Amino acid sequence: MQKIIEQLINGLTVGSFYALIALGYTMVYGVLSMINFAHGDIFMVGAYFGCFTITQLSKSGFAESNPALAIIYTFAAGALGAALTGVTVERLAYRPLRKASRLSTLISAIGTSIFLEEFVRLVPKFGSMISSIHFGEQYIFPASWRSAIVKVTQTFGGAMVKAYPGILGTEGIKLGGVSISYSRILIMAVAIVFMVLLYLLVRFTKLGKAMRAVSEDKETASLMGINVNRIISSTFFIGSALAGIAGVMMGIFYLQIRTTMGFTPGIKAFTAAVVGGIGNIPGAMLGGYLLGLAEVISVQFLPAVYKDIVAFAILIVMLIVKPTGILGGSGGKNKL
Amino acid sequence: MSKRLFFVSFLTIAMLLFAACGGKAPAEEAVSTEAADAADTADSAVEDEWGYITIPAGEKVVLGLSSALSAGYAAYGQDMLNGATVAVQTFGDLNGWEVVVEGGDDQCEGAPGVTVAEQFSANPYLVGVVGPMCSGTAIPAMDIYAENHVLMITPSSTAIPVTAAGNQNVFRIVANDDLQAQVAVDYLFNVLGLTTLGIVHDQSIYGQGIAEAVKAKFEAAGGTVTGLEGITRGDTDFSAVVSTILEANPAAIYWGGMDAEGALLVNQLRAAGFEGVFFGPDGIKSIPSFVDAAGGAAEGAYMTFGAVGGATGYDEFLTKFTEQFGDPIAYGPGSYDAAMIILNAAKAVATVDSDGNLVIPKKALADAVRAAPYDGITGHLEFDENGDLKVVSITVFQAQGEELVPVKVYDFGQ
Amino acid sequence: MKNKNRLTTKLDQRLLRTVLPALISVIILSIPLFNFPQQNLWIRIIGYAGLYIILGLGLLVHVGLAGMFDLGFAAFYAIGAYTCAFLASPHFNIHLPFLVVILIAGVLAALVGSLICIPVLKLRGDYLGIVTLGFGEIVRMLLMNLTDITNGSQGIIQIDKPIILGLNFSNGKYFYYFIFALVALLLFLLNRVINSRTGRAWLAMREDEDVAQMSGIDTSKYKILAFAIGAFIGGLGGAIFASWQGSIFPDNFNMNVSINILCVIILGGLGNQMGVILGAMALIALPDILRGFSDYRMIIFGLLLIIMMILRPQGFLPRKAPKFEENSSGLPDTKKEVQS
Repeated sequence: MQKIIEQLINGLTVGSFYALIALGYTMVYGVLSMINFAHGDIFMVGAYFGCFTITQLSKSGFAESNPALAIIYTFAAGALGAALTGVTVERLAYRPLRKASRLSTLISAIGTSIFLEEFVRLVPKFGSMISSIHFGEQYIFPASWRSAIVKVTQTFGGAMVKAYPGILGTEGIKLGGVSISYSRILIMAVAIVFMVLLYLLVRFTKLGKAMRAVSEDKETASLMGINVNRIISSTFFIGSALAGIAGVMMGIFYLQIRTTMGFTPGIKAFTAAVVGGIGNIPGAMLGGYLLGLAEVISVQFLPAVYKDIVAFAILIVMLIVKPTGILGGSGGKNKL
Repeated sequence: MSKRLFFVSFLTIAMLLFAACGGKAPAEEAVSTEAADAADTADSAVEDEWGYITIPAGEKVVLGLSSALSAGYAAYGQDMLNGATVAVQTFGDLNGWEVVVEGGDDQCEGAPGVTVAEQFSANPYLVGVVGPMCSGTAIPAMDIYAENHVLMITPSSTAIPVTAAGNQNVFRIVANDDLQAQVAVDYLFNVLGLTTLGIVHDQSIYGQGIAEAVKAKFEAAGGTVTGLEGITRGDTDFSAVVSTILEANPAAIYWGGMDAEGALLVNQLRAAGFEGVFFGPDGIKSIPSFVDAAGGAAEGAYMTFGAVGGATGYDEFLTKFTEQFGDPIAYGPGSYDAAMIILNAAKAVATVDSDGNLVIPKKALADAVRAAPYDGITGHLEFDENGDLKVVSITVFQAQGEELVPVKVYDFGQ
Repeated sequence: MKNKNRLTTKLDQRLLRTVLPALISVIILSIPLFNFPQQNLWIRIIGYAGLYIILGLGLLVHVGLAGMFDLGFAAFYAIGAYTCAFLASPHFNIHLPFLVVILIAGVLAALVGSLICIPVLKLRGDYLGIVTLGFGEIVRMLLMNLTDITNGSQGIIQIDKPIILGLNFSNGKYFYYFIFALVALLLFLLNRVINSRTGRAWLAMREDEDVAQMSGIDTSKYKILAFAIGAFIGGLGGAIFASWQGSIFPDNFNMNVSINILCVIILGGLGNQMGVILGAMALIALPDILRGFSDYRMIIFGLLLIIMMILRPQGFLPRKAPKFEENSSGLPDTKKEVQS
């Protein structure tokens, strides 16, 4: 029994990641009807921004004296970094394709995904390249800047797995024999807080209203005086920020990040979004938690190698029973 | 209508294929002309049945390196490229011809690796290839290298089939999976005296191969394997596997896989209260990506690796390497040795013909590698008939603080 | 102004539809005929792109013709490849002739394709995409874990090289000819299918499934047929891949392969067979052509993908408007509904 509860908590933790990433998928899908394949990589970029921040904070000793503030700054950096990346990607790679078939945008998204992964990997190389720009004998940057550029780029990216400084440890609380670590509690709490905030934003603010209008019908919305481009940018900003938060959570919880970390969670989260009913915000949350739980439950009955098989099989059966996702989404009506 | 169409299309496919293949039968002119050319140039040496590499004056001798230079495993591939680069710098010129390293990005996959093999084989100035880095690449790429008689020395492909095919051009300077498994089992069972073992692997050709070998050998030695579980590469949450594998309460866990997942696994094992021994293969021997990434949980973990550090010349190598590229990660030193073996053998058999070309007979080159033992920075390297090392030494390392300390050295006559 | 635009696009179109394919065919055919230093390399690169043309044509039947979003095409590729590996290697010690093997591979893939299609007939759009994605992953994971049959992650090695009419395919040239002969044949047959009743039914289904059903088209039947034909072609591609590479591992069939094939047909201009050729050349051969950039190869490839899409949002060769639509193109949609 104790083991089952531990597994359920574990499933909820993993589900929190999926749900947060799935929200970005579903929001973008809602306004643009496109599958943003680069979303997993925006999640990765967020994790790297967070990693850079917390590494600096723990080097200077700030993280030890003010752990709570350090965590907040890390989340903020991850969210902001991912959000700006997301908005830039939308502006440069997706907006020129808005009138094209939605599968064309898919290719652009895959190109973006390759680009982001490789960019983060190559950041130190670019850093040393920029720092060594010179005309004749004269470098264009002073020596102190040059070493700073090299140092910053090396701390930020690179091909190696990056270690997140552990700030929460493995301690936790015990509830009747079941131990839950603080980092798990933090992750579930952060996920729920942001999901509630997002729900309130979409439901009760002017921006949320505009977003819903745009996802209903872009042209009519623009006739009603809504600046569609601005709403789409805001959607990318919010969706990417949530992914960045998930990325930082991943780093804090698993203590390591790498450039390819976005792929698997990205695919799983996309699956979760579709199962919940793509385009549907509560659906994405539900789908995320369901997928997380499906994974841990399957391990109870079958060897762990069949985990993903069972998870996918459950999803397929669910979709066969309910062809437009659990809460009903819009994904079925779009032509290719 | 559609049924008939199907039937007709089946028939036509079959017939057209026969016709297409029967009609066009290009003669293998390329091979024959090449052989003729070679016979012309080889005026001094004994005729070589594999042909000759002929490099005109002013051209550069190319040393190929096949490894992952982009995407997920780029850190290791770059490490190998750096090792080979240092080797070329140390070696200097080959009888007056400059030597350059050319990196081929095989992404640790089959199809790109085969393309890299074709690319290298098509290069007339290529003397030999270091790599491929991964077994899954080496196995299909090997056929291309064998077909073109290109010398290939891999410092890191540990799967048994790499040398089992008996290709005369293929060499390996690393212990195969079987030997690493044997060392792990001996250390766990005889030295540490542990009798129960749980095994986790990453379902890759490398990780699962070594994990299955450990299982067989541990059981043969009289121990009990309490569980064998697989995880998926790229996943981050292994707590389900962790709780399953810890149910039987094994005294040690063997991990078959790479550092990234290894660090996550040891971390999650410790968090779940596991206090036994964690043991892994060469894939986790790395400070930054395993020990640091595990955030303290890797303390006391064991791993096997080909002997590095004790052999002569290692310190000079290390100085040159760190000056340019930072610390070597894993296969940099092995890559250095592989490159050195190729270049030394080339120096031994190369001649300059009457037209001033550098001529390297291919078969003689491979034979020279096989015949002459080489004292490298990873140990004494001497090959057997299949291209595997005659004597392999494997060191067991233990993570202690920020260091990997060698705790026992094994020597094997293969 | 408007006229001029139309003229240039027409010229543009004609250029793309006739001159370019002709040029490409000439280049493709001439590579093995003349001897040049890097011939084997180019046979490998272009031949591999040719393999992706075959796979692309298969997926084109699913996505481009029948309008069924498929994110798991690698499954059929894998089934074909493993069938070949089982029937022509020392693994089970069975050594059947290649032409028999490749047909069995295709039929088996088609069988699995139609079986997987039946329960998901009701699914549409992205929901179908996810189900096929899951199916593709399940197939790969089964290959990985049914170790007794598939040898798991250690793969199957030493797959026989085909011998057809006494020609031993040890040389890459024969594979090259075989692949492009198959491409030509598939192009011809697909063209026939597209202009048949089946093709028109697919078109109707793709444009509007509900209307198609109401007009008396048995959508279930045509969906299964599309899935079977596409999977059949995928199976053929798999068998060629297995015998060409000589060894296969479950990782050769991961999701990236499915996505790559999808990219090939979208880049080519969804729904156009000739476009698939251009798409495969651009997508599969490009990373190899970019090898000179060493470390920056993949980042440049990613950038080029974005730029190519922005410059030609509909792909290289967009789908031609069907003939009977051209007459009514000026009419509003409502009228069309009334007519039907």
